[in-house]
Amino acid sequence: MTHCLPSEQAKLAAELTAHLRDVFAYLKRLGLSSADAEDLAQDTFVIAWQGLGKLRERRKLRSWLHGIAHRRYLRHQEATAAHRPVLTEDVGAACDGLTPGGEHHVLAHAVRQALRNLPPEYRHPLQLLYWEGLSYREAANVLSLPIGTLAWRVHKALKLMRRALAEKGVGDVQAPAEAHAAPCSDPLSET
Amino acid sequence: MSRHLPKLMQLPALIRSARPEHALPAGLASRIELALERMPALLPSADHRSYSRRIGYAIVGLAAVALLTTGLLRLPGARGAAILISAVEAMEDVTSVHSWGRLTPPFDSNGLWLGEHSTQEVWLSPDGWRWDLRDPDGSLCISRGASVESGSFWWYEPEQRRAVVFSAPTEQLASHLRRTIVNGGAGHVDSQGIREEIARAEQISTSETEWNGRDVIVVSLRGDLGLAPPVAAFGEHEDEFYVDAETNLWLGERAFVRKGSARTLVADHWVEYNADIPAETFQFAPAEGTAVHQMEAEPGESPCNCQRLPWWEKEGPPA
Repeated sequence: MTHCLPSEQAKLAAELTAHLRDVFAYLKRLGLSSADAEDLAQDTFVIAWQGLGKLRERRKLRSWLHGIAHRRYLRHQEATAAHRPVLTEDVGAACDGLTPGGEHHVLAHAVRQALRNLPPEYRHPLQLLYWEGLSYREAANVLSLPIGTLAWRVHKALKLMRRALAEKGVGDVQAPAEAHAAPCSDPLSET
Repeated sequence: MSRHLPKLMQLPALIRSARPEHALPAGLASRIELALERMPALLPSADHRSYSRRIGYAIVGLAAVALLTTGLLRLPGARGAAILISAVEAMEDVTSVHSWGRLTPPFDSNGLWLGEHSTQEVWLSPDGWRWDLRDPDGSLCISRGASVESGSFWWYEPEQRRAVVFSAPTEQLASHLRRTIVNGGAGHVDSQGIREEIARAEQISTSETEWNGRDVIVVSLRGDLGLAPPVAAFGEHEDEFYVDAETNLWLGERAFVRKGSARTLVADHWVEYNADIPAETFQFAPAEGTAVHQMEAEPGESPCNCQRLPWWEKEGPPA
């Protein structure tokens, strides 16, 4: 589609949309439905497209997009707070590519549940750092926090996670090898 | 699993290993690319990267706001901005207003994409003075020369219960929206009043509004505006005429049609219609003194050809 744009703009659009999957997955991992995640992803890229001139360092494009997506997510949450049903599903539990019932599956489920039960101010830093792979500085920018505050929240969040996992019987375990979950489609989506 | 507390340093790896994956839904990429493609003109220029320029804009903006609030800018020429701000203020209080924007030319070679209307796309012309309707391939189908400076362009989407309004910031429209809020309260849009004001805005000349003709309010009013869907649509390109027989609504290209049935139209002013439509399809009942002009397509050209001629290049309404 972007072939209809002037070449320079098409190049910028391609550079931008290369991060689409990351942004969509991030919104899904924040617990949004597929439809909402798609809408917010579109909003994110339209906003980014219109404000691309404000981005001074192109290498920060990915975290900048995460920042826009995060703010769109927060606004969406505010707007729908009155109508939103209580989440009973694990955050992003639709697909992990792991064998149900396997030890890793049980562990992953417990970790996600512990993460989901954290207050947002503690959950979001962990997600950005360990699920989205952002640096501390990038995550602090996304959340509009001083880096010191972020570090403190991460520390506090990990302590809360440790307590929650211990209560679930997850003790001193070795983390499985690097996450190897395969991408899969969301059963709720129309794909 | 052990019952001991997991070590803090183990947790990051544990969290990483529990990361759920989500594939990109089919169609999302093309949907977003399409959205980006349609607004290339909004891409900021490199000039906007200048901090000093931005700071300058901010200072000027703050000064303008201060002056406006103290009434110092109530001078001829500043009225357009004041009207715009009034309208925006009014609109922000109407919960059903979907979006608005202030559009400033120059745009790209096609102008600025505003939205879709039926099978065509609505553009603000590159110089910001006309509404252009374009086919999806970009070719100009209708260009409404004086419409931007004299009023609005809008349509109703019955399926979505939504009206899309591209309007000049006329004082009448702004004041009506304000009255709507006062009278109807947030969430209630007095559709009849808005229709009347928009229709009236069509008749207002630039000199009367002291409007510079280049600022446009884009409003999408959601909700049931009480409009019946068009009962008659002429031509292969429906934009030529939309006739709402129930509301006398002006919806079409250069035609004001009073109440009538789907096949009986009463024209107040002058009417053009596509030459490819058999005249006997519709029973015209022009008001006394109304000139009816049937446009002729050139041989070998598409049925839309009659609309491809900008109307200001024509001789104007027949006497």
